[in-house]
Order: sequence, then C-alpha cells, then structure tokens
Amino acid sequence: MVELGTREAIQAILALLREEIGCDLSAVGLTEPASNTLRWPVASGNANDRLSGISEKPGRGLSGTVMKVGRPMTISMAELVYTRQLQEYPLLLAENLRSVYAVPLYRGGAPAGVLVAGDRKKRVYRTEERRLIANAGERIASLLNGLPAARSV
Amino acid sequence: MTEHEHVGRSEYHAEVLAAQVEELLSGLDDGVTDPVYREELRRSLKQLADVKFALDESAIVAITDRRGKIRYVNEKFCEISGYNRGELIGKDHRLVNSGHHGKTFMKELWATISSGRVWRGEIKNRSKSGREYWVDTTIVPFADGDGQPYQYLAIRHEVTRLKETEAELQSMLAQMMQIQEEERRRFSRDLHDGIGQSLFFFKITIDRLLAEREDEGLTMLGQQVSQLMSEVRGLAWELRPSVLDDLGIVPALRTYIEHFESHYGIRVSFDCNLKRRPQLLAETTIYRVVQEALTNVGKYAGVSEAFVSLEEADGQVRAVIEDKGAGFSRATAGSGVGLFSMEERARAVAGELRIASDPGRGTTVTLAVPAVQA
Repeated sequence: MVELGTREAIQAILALLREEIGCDLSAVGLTEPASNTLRWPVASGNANDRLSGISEKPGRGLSGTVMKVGRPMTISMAELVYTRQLQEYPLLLAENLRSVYAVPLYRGGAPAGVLVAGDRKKRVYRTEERRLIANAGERIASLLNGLPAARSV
Repeated sequence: MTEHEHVGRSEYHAEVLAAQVEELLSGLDDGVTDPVYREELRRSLKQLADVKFALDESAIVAITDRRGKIRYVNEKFCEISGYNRGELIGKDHRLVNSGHHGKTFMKELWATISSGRVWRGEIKNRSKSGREYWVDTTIVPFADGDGQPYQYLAIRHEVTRLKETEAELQSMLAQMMQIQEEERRRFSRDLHDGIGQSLFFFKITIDRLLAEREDEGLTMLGQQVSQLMSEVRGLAWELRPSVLDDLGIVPALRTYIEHFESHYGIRVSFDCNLKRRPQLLAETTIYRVVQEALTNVGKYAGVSEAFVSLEEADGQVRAVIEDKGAGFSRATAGSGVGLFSMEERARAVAGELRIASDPGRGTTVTLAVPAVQA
C-alpha cells in the first residue's frame, strides 16, 4: 500500500512529530482502495504490534468521524466510554490512548487517511501543537500523492 | 401453655421456649424473700415474656433437640405448615421437606449448626396440603456448659412472594432477551433482503448505464452505492448474522472471530470439536456470550492474543473464552451490564456461566449449556 521509500519518509515525519510535541504515539491510517477499510501501515511509538493487525470497517470510528467530516478532531477515551463508542476506536484500545488529535489526509480531493497523535494520559493539545500535527499531515499527504513534500522542515 | 401446665417447677425444662415464665412470676412472692432482688427478677421475667410474645407474633418459631426432633412450635409454624402441634412435636423437619434442596445442602446446614455456628439461608418447605412455601431461616444453636449444642432455635419468615417475584423477573428477562433476539433477526433480514436488495438493483442499473457511455460522476455514484451496500450488509451481520440460523454456531463464530481479529488487532485461536448443532436457543446463547466475552477482551484485557474453545462432552456444550491479560475483580468490574447479561443468558437456557479472573492474571469465562434441551 505504501512504497518502501515513502514509508521511510513517513516514518521520519512521525518520529519528528513525536519529538516536537512530545506525544506517546503518532500513526498514519490509510483506507484500502477496494474494501475501504482503515489500516495502520506506519506508526511511531507504538507499544505493541496490535496496530498492524487492525482493519477498521468503513463508516465507523475514525473513518466515520474525522474522515467523513474532513476536519481535524480531538478524541478522548473518557468521552468514548461515556457515549459507549469506545469499541469503534480499536487504535485507542490497542495502544491504551487517553487523548488523541486526528487530522484527515487528503489524496486528490477526498480524505484517504488520517494522521493521529496520541497520548496514554489525558492531554489537551494546544493551538501550536495542533498546527504542528496539521503540518505533518500535509507533508505526509504530499508524499502519498507522489509529490515532493511541499513544506519541508 | 396447656400441655405444659403439669410440669413441676423443680423440673428443669429447657426444651420449650420460656415455658415457665408465668409460673415463675406467680411464685415469686413465695420463692424469693429479698424484695429488691425479687423486683429485678420480676422485671426481667416480664421482659422475657414480652420478647417471646413479640417473636411469636412476628416469626415462625421452632425448637428442636440435638437430633432434630421438634420440641416446640409456635402458632405461626402450625398456621403455615398446616399441621397442628400434636402432629409436629416429636417429628423432625422432614415432615415439611419439599425435596427441593439436595443432600449436600442439608449436610452443610447440619455441619454448621452442630459445630455451634448460626446458619442462615432460604429453605423451600411443603405444607400438609401440599402448598410449597419459602422461608428465610436463621437457626441458632443453644450450647450447654461444654459448648455442645443441646437444642436448636429456628426463626423463620415467609418469603414465598419474594421468591416468586424473583422467578418471574428471571423469566421476564429471559423472554426479553428472546424478543430482542427475534427483533434483531427480523431487522437483519429486512436490511439484507429489503434495502440490500434494492441497492443491488440500483448498482446494476448504474452499471448498465455505464456500459452504454462513460461518465465520471456515474462511476463515482457506483462506487458510493457499493460502499453503501457493504455498510448495510455489515449492519445486518452485526445485528444478527444469518449464518447463525442457516449454518449454525461454528461457522458463525468463525466469521465473528475473523472480524474481531481484524477490528481489534488481537489474534484468537479457536478450537472446536462440535460434531452436531446444538439447538438454536443454545447456539444464540453461545454466540452472544462469546461475543460479549471477546468484546471485553478487546476493551479491557490489553492483550494481543485470546483463546476460544467449543466442545461437547457429557451431554453439555462448553464454551471457554480465555485471555492472559489485565483481569479484574468483581469490585472493580464497573457498572456495565455485560457480566450480568451473560449470566442471565446462560440461566435462560438452563446453562451455567463461570467467570474466573484476578487483577493481572487474566480472565476465563466458561459457559456450559445442555446439548439437548430438557
């Protein structure tokens, strides 16, 4: 799904993002062309390998929110527990994330994936941090679209 | 009092509750010379008589000797059991035994009271007319100087209504789950055969139009309809997989486990030696219990591996769902209805559910249901 060179470049962006904002995990989810399921091919800071086995149904969880709406979103585990939707966010369960900031990744004109920054403790992502995550998202999207990273560091 | 009037004052009569109180009271003036002591004794005896009166008014009271022979019963005992006092004195409690409780239950009761400890529990009895009634029972052993029980005081309250309500509640729950299951089946079929079918025709129409002329918008529409079809199919499957009705528990569980693995990223090893289909209600119960237990694994266990086995042995189908993860104790289990609903589901098909878990040591859920409904 992601070519080797691209994967390495994305991996580097994810590692840098973790350093910049000091979050526990950063990961890229992409929808598979045929089934529209969301998978997690590249991640940085993951605690185990469950991520690579996850394949989320379309229309649920992140693909039903961030990708459908097409805008960044904050997700907290506490809220998901309260609204009984936790089981639709396997990424949070697998990595035990309390707080997540997710931005959609566009391919062509449509959302084709999501970049997630997450923490295992409660966290509020400040404006500056959100901007850094969005920037990383844009760079990853450019890579996915086969373009040179538009705004490199 | 009638049957004890002839008992002499000098004869110590321990077997009847406060039988001599009135006699002693009337003899106080002659028997005790110290006036202060006599007054205190009078007051204490009066209080004892009052307490006995209150007890007889409120509870079913019986006294047996150490071998279990009935030596005393109060009015309420006679009333509820339908026997008169003469029929009861000298017999043991087998007279009112309903046969509901097994040998081990009675053994445990006797082991408790004969070692001098108080026993509490609920007992189902049968009256002379055959009416069955439940009594909440406390049996207090009275010990002699050596600490050996020489008689037992049993205080009972009727709780038949409570027991009946409990049973009704349980049967209502079972019916409710049954109705929920039927509704899910209907919705699932409607989604699949109704909307699903219409979308399929819609897709065929789009494909036919596309075969006539290329159109980017129409191609996009076709993709969206395909997407919608798969969402509707997914929804129908989640409500209740039709494969459960058509092909049975094993293929249904295999599909469920496949979906579970890819959704949560948890590997599940599935062992199965079922050679025939259990009856449908049992299949539904197994499916829902495995589903609930695995969902708990996905949400709370924090593992990347889980184990499910399904086997038939000794006329029972046993389903075991196991993980080696976080575990829990009942106190920290939270307020979810998951555990409760698994237990109720098992009970509704005359099955049994056991949950073994300790913090840090994983969780094992074991469901046993009769292979053939009795």
